[in-house]
Amino acid sequence: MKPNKSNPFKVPSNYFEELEASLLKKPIAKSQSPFRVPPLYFETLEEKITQNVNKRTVKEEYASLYTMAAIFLVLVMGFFWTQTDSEEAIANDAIEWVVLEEMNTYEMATFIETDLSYVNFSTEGVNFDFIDYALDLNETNTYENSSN
Amino acid sequence: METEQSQLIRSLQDPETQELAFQRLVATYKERLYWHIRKIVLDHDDANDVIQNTFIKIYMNINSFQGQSKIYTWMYRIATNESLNFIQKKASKLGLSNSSWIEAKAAGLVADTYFDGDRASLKLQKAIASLPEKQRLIFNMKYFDDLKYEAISEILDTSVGALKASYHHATQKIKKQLSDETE
Repeated sequence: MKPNKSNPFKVPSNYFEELEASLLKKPIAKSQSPFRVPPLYFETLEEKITQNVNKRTVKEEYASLYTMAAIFLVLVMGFFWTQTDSEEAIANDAIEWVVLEEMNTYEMATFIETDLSYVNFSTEGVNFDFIDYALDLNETNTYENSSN
Repeated sequence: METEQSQLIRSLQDPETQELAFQRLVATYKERLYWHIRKIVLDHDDANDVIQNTFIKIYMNINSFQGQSKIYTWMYRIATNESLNFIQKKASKLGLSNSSWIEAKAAGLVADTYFDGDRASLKLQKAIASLPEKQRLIFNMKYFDDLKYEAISEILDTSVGALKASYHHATQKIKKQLSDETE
């Protein structure tokens, strides 16, 4: 009869971990933790993380492309707006200077009501609403000054 | 001679080797980080969400890692912050404080499929959940993860002295709570 080499003696489960913990005063080992995970969780976790990271990277790339496109669009639109604004501003400044600084009230009235060719600059792009406003303002000021 | 850590960081920051190095990083640290997160958020599904976000954050920020601390303490810090942010979001959605939310989670462990602790471990988890947030983190890292105070100090940006005091207070509170319940 062959001698059986396998150890017939058994110990309670986790005995050696508990022994080590009690001898070394170690905290509770992970295997004794009451928390559990679904079967094969850690085996599939790696793949899930890699997939999520890849998805996020693609999203970030798209987001940065959209951001760059939006910035470009804003810059282009801003350029055109400033161009239009500056032309209008120059025209308005010129009118304001001529009307308010150079003309007297009579000339102003003539300019508005009768002869637009009185002044020899192009009226193209002239903001007449502004001139009306300026005249109104001038009259109001004159009225206020006279009543004082 | 280049250390293993600096070699890993170099591979992670090099676009050509990044993917492979990241897979190595995930393989090495996924379980440690998972258990760290799980002890904070308690629920498996929540821990699963947080670990995904943690690794995404690690990947996105790896180029800004200077190598001044150990990579695992840096990752632990990210995992801790992600877990706390997660709790904050969940709690505020329900109009609860963080501590009330975590205490409710601890109370629900009894019905959790992925928790099979006995009454004693359930009581221990409830007692841990009743600790203030920082003490809870310190207790988990010291008692369950067996991290050194120096490592916890780097993760939580707190002095070793303060950590020792907090751990002492935490153990006293837990002992008291457990003995009160058994009386």
